[in-house]
Order: sequence, then structure tokens, then C-alpha cells
Amino acid sequence: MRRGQAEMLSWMPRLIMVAVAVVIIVSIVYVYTQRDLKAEQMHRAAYLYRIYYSDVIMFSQGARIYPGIVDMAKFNQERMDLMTYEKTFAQLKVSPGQGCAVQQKTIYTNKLAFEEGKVWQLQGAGGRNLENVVYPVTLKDGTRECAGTLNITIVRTNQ
Amino acid sequence: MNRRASVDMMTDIFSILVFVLIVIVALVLLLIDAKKLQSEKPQLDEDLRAQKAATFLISLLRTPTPQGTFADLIIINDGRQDAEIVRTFVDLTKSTNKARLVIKYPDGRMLYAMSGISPEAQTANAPLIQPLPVKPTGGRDITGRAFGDYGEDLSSYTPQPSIAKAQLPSGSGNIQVELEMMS
Repeated sequence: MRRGQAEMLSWMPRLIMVAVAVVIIVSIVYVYTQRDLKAEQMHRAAYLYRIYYSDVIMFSQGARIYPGIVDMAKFNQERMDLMTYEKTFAQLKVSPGQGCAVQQKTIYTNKLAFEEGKVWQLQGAGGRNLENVVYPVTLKDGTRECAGTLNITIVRTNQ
Repeated sequence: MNRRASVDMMTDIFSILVFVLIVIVALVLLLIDAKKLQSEKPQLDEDLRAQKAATFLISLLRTPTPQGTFADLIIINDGRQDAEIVRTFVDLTKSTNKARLVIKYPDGRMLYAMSGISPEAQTANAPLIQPLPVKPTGGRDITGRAFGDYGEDLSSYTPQPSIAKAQLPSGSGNIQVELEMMS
């Protein structure tokens, strides 16, 4: 056997070992960097409760916020712009109950994300996951208060 | 074997040992992490469901009715508003999954209301003490029908109950309000 061939043979196991080690290290890095990002349910919940429990659309007096009482003066697109986020979008729709004079209204953080045919759940990168919740709420329009529903749809782009 | 070959062999053995050690440590770390995540997930899911139920209960209690908020209606109820409470609850939970409200008054009275069932059927069968069905088959609702008899698609249904509790102060003590939701 020539010396070159002998050296190649002796290096082969080392190269295989290095390849396996690289694969293992890459796998570990991938697992540890991705595991916290794939918590879609948590992300959606955090975004949803940020809308629900903050004063973005809910009635507030001074520092006190009243979750469950939608202030119709705040229920507009300008307020929703405060909630703009790159990967997560929200659609909020208020519907008046029986005998409630408040107009039905829908606002978005990104209207394009909710255009017809765009809202679906799709697994994998580039897909979307969504959640829809309906809460019975008080619709406060000036001094008038009446019962209605708040329908919140959260759409999140898969990582 | 000459001296150089011997040194080379020792180096190779040492490299293999280090490599095996790295693999073992990596696998152990991954295993510990997987176990940890596995043990935390049910609690996380339960927390999320509980938060969902609590948020719904907050909304529910604040919703206006002709007698004030829904919480006011519960507080002023001396037994004559039972039917109205059930009717309001059924009306407010039209668009939600199965939900049940349990109200415990300080004098021992209890009131149950369940979503998705006509208020008349519920008040006619008072006291409504049957729990929410926990399995798609075998469970019975308050009217005695098997769960699933309403035409729901239960093929992928896995009931996950969660309970939110609130206390409403009244003159004779605290009223306990429990909302059980199936997600």
C-alpha cells in the first residue's frame, strides 16, 4: 500500500467522527434555540391578554383599568396601531347585544392578514396558527353602557 | 511498534474517549431537557386553560343585565331570579364551548347553569347537580341525554375542563361563583 493511501485510511475514521460531532452539536444548538420559539399557544395567549387586560381598548379611569368594559371611544384603528407586532396579528370585532345601540365594528392590527382566504391554519414554516375567542363584554359609549360580545382572532405566523 | 506510532495510537484513543464523553453528555442533557419539558407541559396547558376561564368569568360578571351587572343579579338573587340567571348565562355563552356555572350562596342554596341547553329544560330539572361530562361517551347532561346527542362532531373531541372561581360579597357572606369550561 502506498503511504498516501495508508494515511487516507487512517484519516477516514477521524473524518467520520468529526462529521458525527458536528451533526450532534448542530442538533443540540437547534433544539435549544428553537424550543422556546415554538410555543405558539403561549405567544397567542400573551398577545391576547395584552389586548384584553391593557387599556388599549378597555375602559380606564386614571391608572385603573376595567377589563371586560370596552371603551368604544378607544375602539379604533389608531389604538390598534399600538399593538402592531411583526409576527402576530389581531382582529377585534364588537357586536352589540339585544337592545344595544352601539354599531358593530371591526378593527385590525394588520387588515391584510385577515383578507378573505388568508386566515387558515397551516403547519410548518411560513404557515399560520390562529385562535378565536368570544367574550361577553360591556360596550361603553360615552355614558351609555350595554351588553355585547367581543370577538378576538389572533393569527401568528409560524417560526 | 516504534515510539511515534505508539504516541499516535494514544492520541487516537484519547480523541475517541473525549468524543464518546461529548456524545454521552449531550444525550444526557437532551434527555433531562425533554423530561423537564414533558413534565411542565400539562401544567402549562392547565394554566392557559385556567387563564382562559378566568378571563371569561371576569367578562361574564361585568356584563350588564336589566338588574345591573350579571354579578349584581347573582347578589340580589333570593331564589326568584334563578331562571333569569340561567337564561342570561345561556344567552351570554352562546358562542363558547360547553360551560357550566355553579353559584353557592352563603345560606346553602346552589344554582347551576349550563351553556347550550335551553333555560326551560334546566330550570324544570332543578336542582341541577350533574357534573359536566368528562368523556364524549357515557356522560349524561342535565336532561338525561347522552353527551353527543346534540349532533356535535366528537371525533376529535378531548374534553379539557378548567375552573375559574370568584367570590362576590353579599350581606350574609361571600357568594362563591365557579365557572367550569371545556376547551
